Amino acid sequence: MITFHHLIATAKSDRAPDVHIEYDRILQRHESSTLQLVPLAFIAGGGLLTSLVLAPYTMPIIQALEDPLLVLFLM
Amino acid sequence: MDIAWSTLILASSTTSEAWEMDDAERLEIEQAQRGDPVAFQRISERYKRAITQQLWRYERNQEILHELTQDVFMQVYTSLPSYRFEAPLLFWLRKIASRVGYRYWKRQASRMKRTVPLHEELVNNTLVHSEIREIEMADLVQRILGQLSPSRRMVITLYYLEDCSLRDIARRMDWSETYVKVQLYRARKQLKALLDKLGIRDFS
Repeated sequence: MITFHHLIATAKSDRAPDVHIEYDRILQRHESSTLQLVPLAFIAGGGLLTSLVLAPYTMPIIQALEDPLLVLFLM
Repeated sequence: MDIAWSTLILASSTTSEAWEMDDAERLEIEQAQRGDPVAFQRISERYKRAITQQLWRYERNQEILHELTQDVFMQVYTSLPSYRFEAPLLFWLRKIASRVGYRYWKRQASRMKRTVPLHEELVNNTLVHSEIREIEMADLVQRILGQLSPSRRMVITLYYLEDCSLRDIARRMDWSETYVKVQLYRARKQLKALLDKLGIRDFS
């Protein structure tokens, strides 16, 4: 009859097969994932720039929304 | 016998305290952190065996094992600049490997739906009661543990197969020790019920 301890001892001593690491694939994936960040950085930068340019127009609206009386008046 | 065995496991815990790194290895890691592919390759080849041995306990299909190993070393390459020499490199690599394995199990668990209960399948195949080879026995362990949820399976694997203490498991998985204790208690209870059905004795 098999015991749990026997199973665990066998599983622990079981040797893994040899595995070959594909270093070229690692480097390629790393480079492509870095390149994918470039458009994201452009989008984020563009968004930030747009919000800065539009700030003089958007700030009064935001401030108005924070004032409950003015919001009530607008409604 | 169980007490002696558990004591042995706790005594051989794999904590990362009180360690010193060889100067040559530190230099090599620093080179790899700066993006030197040759240094990275040397480090990877040094630890590859230990990591594949660890991953072999998570998946026994050779093709998937290959992919998991690739994933681990891909993550190592990306995250190596964040390694701060606060623990041995192998401890840090094992942490990455455990997380890759855990994510893999979670993906598997969401896809897999078992139709025939394991104990019926095994009893029908007379796998448990006949003379079985060691490789089949190692497969059997994986199939039994595969019945547990990914978190319980991880706790049992780290505790029994990788000889980690509760503290080590908590550190490796970034879980609290209380969570690990609860998972271990529940996993043992579930495992005991499974082993009883399969007629496997000596579990406590």
